Amino acid sequence: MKKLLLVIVLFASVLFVNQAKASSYSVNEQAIDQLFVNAVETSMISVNATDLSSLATNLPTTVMANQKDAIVAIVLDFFLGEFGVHRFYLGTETLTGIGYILTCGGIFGIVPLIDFVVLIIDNKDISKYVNNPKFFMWN
Amino acid sequence: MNVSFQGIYLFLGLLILSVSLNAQQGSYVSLKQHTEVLENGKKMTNDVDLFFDNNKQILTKYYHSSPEFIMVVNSLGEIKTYFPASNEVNYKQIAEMSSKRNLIYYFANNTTDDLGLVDEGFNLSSNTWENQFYVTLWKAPSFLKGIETVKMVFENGLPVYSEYQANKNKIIKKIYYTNYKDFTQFRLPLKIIEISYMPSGDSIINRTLFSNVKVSSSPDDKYFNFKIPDNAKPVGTTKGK
Repeated sequence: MKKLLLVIVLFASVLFVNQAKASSYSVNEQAIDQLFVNAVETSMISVNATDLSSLATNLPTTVMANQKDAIVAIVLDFFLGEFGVHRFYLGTETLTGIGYILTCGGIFGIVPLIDFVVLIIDNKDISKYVNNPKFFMWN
Repeated sequence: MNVSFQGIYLFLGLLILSVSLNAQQGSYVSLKQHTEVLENGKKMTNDVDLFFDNNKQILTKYYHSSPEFIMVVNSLGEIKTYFPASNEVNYKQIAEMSSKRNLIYYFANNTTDDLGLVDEGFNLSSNTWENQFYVTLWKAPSFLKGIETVKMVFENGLPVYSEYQANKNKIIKKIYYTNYKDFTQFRLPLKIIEISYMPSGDSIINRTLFSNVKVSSSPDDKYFNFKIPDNAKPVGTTKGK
């Protein structure tokens, strides 16, 4: 009887561990859905134009306008695109990938990718982020 | 002797025919991508039509944004971004944005072992089984500050979960691949949820939904290998690092 009880307890604990592992690799989609339902829709382009106009630049207005659309397009594609999601370029003093794109027109300076999301969605003043050498600029 | 040679030639002929037929099947993949990003109670959505020519490895993306634009990327990371409204085109080359370094390529070619981690400079440090899950741990390259390891979890041979760790006690990103659908040559997750955790305690949630997935042996849409108009005006053309 004791042996049977021990087997049952062992079996139950193995089952519990299995369930725990499975749940840690799955997401509560209903909770995620609810967050999106309750969220307020915002627009990237209207935000971006405001932020860009506040930045100092030596570029002529027409060049800046053309560069803005191209850079916005590439950043939008990079961030919202279907690229291997293991893309996590963050701005550092060493220019890589999307960071280089953002500096080629001298408009954004070094802007970490994840920070750019904050700027887009929250419509914050991004002047403090320009040429910020910190890795996590919100620190 | 003649009969045996004929048999060999017949076999080789059938083999070549079979290989060429397989190469044509599923060479053109098109799908719709709906992306939503949520942060601090606000969200942004974006819709893209994707067209992937798996033979030439050219990816065309038609963004339904404002302004709308069409992006054509090849395997070398040569990017042409065309704005129909203004008839302008931007040329850039960024190796990291190659058509061979995106999810559609990895899944359409069944190369999902690392989903681009190796291309990013990661090295496999360990692999183990956790019941039905196959777990791999990848060490980040030294130049990628802020990330120490990435854990990838597979179930039935398909990626179901990825986790970015700044250190052993700090997870900065989680990615969930769900709703897999079989498209004969490959399987694709129709929903990907990505959660990035910020030091402030807030998080950014990125939800991507794929739909209208079509796989064909010939290009059935004009956007496969989209041609930029000859009279498009080049703007801001530069070369990436």
